[in-house]
Amino acid sequence: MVESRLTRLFLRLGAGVTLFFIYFPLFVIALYAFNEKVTQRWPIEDWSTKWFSVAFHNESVREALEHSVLAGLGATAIALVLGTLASMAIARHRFFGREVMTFAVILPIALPGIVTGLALQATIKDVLSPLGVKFGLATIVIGHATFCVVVVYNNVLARLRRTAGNLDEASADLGADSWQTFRYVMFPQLRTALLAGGLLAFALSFDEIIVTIFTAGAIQTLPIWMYATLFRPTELPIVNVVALFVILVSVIPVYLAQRLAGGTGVAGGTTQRPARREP
Amino acid sequence: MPDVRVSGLTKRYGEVVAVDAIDLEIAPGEFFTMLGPSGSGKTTTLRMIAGFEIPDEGTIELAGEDVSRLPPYDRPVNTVFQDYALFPHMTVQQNVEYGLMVKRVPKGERRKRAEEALEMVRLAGYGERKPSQLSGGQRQRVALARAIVNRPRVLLLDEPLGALDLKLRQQMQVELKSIQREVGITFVYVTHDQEEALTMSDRIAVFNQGRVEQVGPPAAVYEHPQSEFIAGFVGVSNVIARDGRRYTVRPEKIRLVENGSEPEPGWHVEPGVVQDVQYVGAFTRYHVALDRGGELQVLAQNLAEGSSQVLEAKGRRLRVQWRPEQESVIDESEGGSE
Repeated sequence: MVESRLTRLFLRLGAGVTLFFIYFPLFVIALYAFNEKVTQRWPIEDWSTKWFSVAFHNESVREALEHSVLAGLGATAIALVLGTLASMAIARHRFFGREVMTFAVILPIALPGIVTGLALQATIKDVLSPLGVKFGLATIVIGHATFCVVVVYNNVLARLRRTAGNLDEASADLGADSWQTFRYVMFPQLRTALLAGGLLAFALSFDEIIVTIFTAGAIQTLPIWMYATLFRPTELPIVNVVALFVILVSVIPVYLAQRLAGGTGVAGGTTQRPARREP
Repeated sequence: MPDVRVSGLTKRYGEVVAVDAIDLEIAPGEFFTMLGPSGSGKTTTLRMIAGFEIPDEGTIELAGEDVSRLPPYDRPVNTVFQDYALFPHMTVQQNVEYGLMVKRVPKGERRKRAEEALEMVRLAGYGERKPSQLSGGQRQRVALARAIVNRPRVLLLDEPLGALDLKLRQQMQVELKSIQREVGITFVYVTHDQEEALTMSDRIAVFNQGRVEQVGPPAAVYEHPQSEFIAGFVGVSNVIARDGRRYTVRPEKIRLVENGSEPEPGWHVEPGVVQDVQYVGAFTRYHVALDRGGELQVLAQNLAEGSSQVLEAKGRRLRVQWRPEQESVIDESEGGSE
């Protein structure tokens, strides 16, 4: 379709406004991280990077960061194993309740975090604690894994659907048992999808707060620390620095994951570029 | 002892009976073709022999051993898939070595055998390429090399030439046949292409609706089809009913003669009218409506005639004749009178 110059201008303006709308608040918080004063006032008068050093040496920030990283790694590990198994079961086998299963695995994304959180809290308190599982890092990992599984599942399933359907049959036919087939054929096919799914899962876990509130007990992750510290005006600059850090840790994995998932997989590459014509 | 023995093999998908109590025996070294239209059960049968599907009833024996419940990796068979199923992340050499690698054959022997197999399919020197860098015909050869390098007891081929164009397909037919003779492995070959089946096979099993309708050498299946389905699927169905018998005659066995000429002694002779004439270059196809009912196709080689002469035959009254031994009676249960 050919648009008039005015339409084109209007559409570009719209795109600009949308981006501004999304990113301006983030931009503000990023700038505040460089504010020299403890109080926040616009426009910023004195610039400084001193709060980075303060935040870096803050004991509770370090502890919260450690918890966030451990929780993220733990939840990602569980998600990788369970998400891969679930997607392979769904993609390879036709079994009763296959559709129900697909829906059930994806549902947690749509469920309100507060409901998931409440449900997990009740389960941990009433079912798991008598068995010796106390609120702490382990329960955060379990809670995060419930929604991290979905992203791994989706990534792996998309890749499985894109690869030729009978590579696993060919492998079994040539004498490989199930483990050999996974190791030599399926895993190499899924490697980038697993990496992408893992990065996304980590990013999701790293900045999650609602489910964490209900499952953390006395432990603080970075988002919880930020939320708790927000009300102490003297530490506000540190919160801003941590916020900037969390933005980066969340954005970089998502960016990488997108390149991995959409990029040069197995089937892609040749089809993306149109054939060059002879003049 | 047969290499493959299938008894009472049955596979259902819900209400649909894909394979219906099939019995087959395939001799060592045989080129055995399962021929049939799509949905006739030939591929499902092949997949059960390979171990990808578990039969609901019946048994599969390979060289006398019951393998019906064994997983694919414990069966002495290998498969050439219709879409080749080459491992895209491995080189050609790695693909061919794969079966030996998972069975822990030492590296040196593995390399040597893979190179021999690639040589046999005329792909020596292609080992370092990736499957994506090969043409369709070359991928087909790699799939073949990857299977035969394991020296299976039986090689299963699932429409292996289906994705190739006609010329390449005909060339590969000849090559497959010569490779089979060279390695002496039993081939079980699935195709829906009757010409392919007739050219390559030692014996053909014709599948229809989950059942085997006839098993025999190509000439027997072609010249003496035992059912109306086979008469129509393998060649052209020329079925007529005479004196309570229903039988078929192959179009090239029928002669067209002028009305006044002397009939050959002992031949079956009938009058009719030429309804249609198709000039096909080397031969001409006539459609003749018979006075006593029914229509026959007749093929005649264009030995001296040109297209203008043969096309003049349209609408002419003449006689058709054939030797009675060319008639193949079709099972009476196939239907009554016309």
